Amino acid sequence: MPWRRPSRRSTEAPLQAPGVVFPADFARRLEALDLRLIGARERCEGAGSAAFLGVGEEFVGYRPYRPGEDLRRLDWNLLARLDRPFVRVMRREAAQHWAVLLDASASMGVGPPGKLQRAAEVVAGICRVGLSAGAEVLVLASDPDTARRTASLRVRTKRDLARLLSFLCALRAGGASGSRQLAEAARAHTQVGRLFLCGDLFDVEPEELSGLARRGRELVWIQILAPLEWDPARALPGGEAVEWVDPESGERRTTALGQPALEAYARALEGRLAAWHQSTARHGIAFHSWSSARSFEDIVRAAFRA
Amino acid sequence: MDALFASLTSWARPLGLLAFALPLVLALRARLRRRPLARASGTLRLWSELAGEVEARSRARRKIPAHLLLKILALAAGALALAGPRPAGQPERALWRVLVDASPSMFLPRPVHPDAGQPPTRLAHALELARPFLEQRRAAGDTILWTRHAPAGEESVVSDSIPKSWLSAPRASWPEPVWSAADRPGTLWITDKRRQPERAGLAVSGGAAVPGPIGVQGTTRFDWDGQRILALAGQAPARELFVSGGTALALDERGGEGEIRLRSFLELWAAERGISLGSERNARTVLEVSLPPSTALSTARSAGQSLELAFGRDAWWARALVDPRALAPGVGVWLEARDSGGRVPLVRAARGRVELAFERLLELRGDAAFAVSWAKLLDGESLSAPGLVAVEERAACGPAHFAAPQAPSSSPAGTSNSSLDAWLAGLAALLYTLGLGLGRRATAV
Repeated sequence: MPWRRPSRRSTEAPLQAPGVVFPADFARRLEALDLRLIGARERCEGAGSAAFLGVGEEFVGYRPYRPGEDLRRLDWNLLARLDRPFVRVMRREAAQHWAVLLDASASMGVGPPGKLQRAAEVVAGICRVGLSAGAEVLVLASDPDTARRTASLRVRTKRDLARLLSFLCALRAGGASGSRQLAEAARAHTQVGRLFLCGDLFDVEPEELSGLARRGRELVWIQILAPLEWDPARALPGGEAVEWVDPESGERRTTALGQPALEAYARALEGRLAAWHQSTARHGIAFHSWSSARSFEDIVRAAFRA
Repeated sequence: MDALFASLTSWARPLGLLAFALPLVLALRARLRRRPLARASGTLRLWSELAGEVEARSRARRKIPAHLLLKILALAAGALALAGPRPAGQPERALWRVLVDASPSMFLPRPVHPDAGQPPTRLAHALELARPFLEQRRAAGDTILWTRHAPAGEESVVSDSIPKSWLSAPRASWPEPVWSAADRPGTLWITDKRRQPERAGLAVSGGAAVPGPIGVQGTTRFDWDGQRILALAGQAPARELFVSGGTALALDERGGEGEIRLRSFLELWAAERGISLGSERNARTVLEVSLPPSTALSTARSAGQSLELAFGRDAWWARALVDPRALAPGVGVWLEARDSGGRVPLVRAARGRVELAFERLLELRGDAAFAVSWAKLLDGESLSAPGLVAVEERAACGPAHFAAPQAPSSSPAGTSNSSLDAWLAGLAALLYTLGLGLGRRATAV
């Protein structure tokens, strides 16, 4: 991703990565990720894991008995008929409707690598996995240019992935309070069995999102921060004075990046993340925090606990 | 820094000190008030919550970033390298190389005045032309390096004047130097023919044609009179072959059945060429052949050290008792054999001298080829008869001429000075590269 040298003379702090550009091999990587997660899902079949498909069980078929397996899983009727041992394969019932919320507010244009870029890749990965699991996925993105301040797209089959990528490429970081707007818009979709939220989550408090919880609904919050937000000590040289600019509110703060300031920031960030972990754990919500420097594959795998 | 400058009495390129202005300007500019770098961040609220925020504007004025500091130091080192500091007590001294042409034409007479007694040689005349220039250089404290290209390699002597032995013609005819390789600043060519160097200087003797003997064949001498070549029967200069070592026998005496004594062959070759046998090495000797001493082989044999080896070349083959320690391995080996211990040199040849590790052949196949092969060796290594100079060397070579060379780039002791400049330049490059890397890391986020 090309980077622009920040201007020392201008009062503006331009966003480093406001848009989304998928690399040429992104489709191949999506497919590879999906295959890997399919393999992991098959390993979990019948083993009690709710990672991929939500709650509930469904009989999906038979497979040959493997030596050492629990004999209680044998289908004795089939054994009597065919004189060969088979076991019943159960699949946990897929949540048929998923929703993925993508925060595209101005702060998501911070990078590089751009938070919006990485979040868009994660959204595409989640949609691909959902489609493979037989789910219909609704994608909601914050959009300050629309009346409802959100843009949406529904994907039902793998043929809709091209439209999804085009939809994501058209996004541009802008506006404010994207997470709040998305939470507001998501409340109307009551049939969603699995809800993902991707953003930097600095424009909202965990309690503000707890209203999205429903009985039988799984919630996954994925926080993505840019390297200079995740670890400014490594991203910026020490001793330099930096004027931080909030791209949503325009607020400014000047700080000298001395060792005490950097350590204090690290403690403050750690405290905030700990607060999110505690709050989401109380409500049974999965929470993951990542640097945008990580690959989308790592983030999606963690979201499905693969 | 002041102490450093005080200890230096000279600079090779004083104007290079002006380059110090650049790092000074950069340092001053860096110390001025700078606007802090503006960066967008979604975690501003965390920074706002931090206690002990420091007013950054005042710090921006005082602190120079590390990458900029490295670049400033690099420019300072570069300015030093450009100025070329020279330690005190070591005046700038130059090394002047005088390349002397030692080909036969240089030792031909070149009269300076018609009524002069013993006319000097072309070499002496060229040296006379170069004398004022070289005296001036010596007076300035410069070093003069005299060089000539011998067949065995370059000979060099540091001296105020040409070595006296160089004023006489070498016994073997030396070729002219490879002039193109010596066309460098600080080099003066001493020669008799005008050339067109780009950087080297010239001291050309010039000279009229010098008729005289140009060759011999048998007992006939060939002279050039300036226009024609004249054959003078029976007037070839006396030439001698000196054979040392070995066993002195009559010409047709053979040792054992089928044995061939090398001495016999050598004497036949010499007789064919009109060369007489000498009892010692002297001015008439055109070739010396060294055979192993007569007792050496028998001593080696009784001690179990002599070898019977088979060898050959040029379509002949022979067997002989060889003293393996007679010749050391090295350059100039014309014939060698192999045994279990490796290669054994059998014949070493150089202009005017051939050394052998065997005295007689126990068996020989290819008599005619042997004769042709050895005759070629002996003819090739024989020196010219005294006084013989090839016709092209005797030809006229135009008027005298002198042109001073371009000044050399550094002094002999200044090899250390030029290396100091190089070290400073290398340090500047290293510091700048480090600064560049740090600077990119600072902004490539």
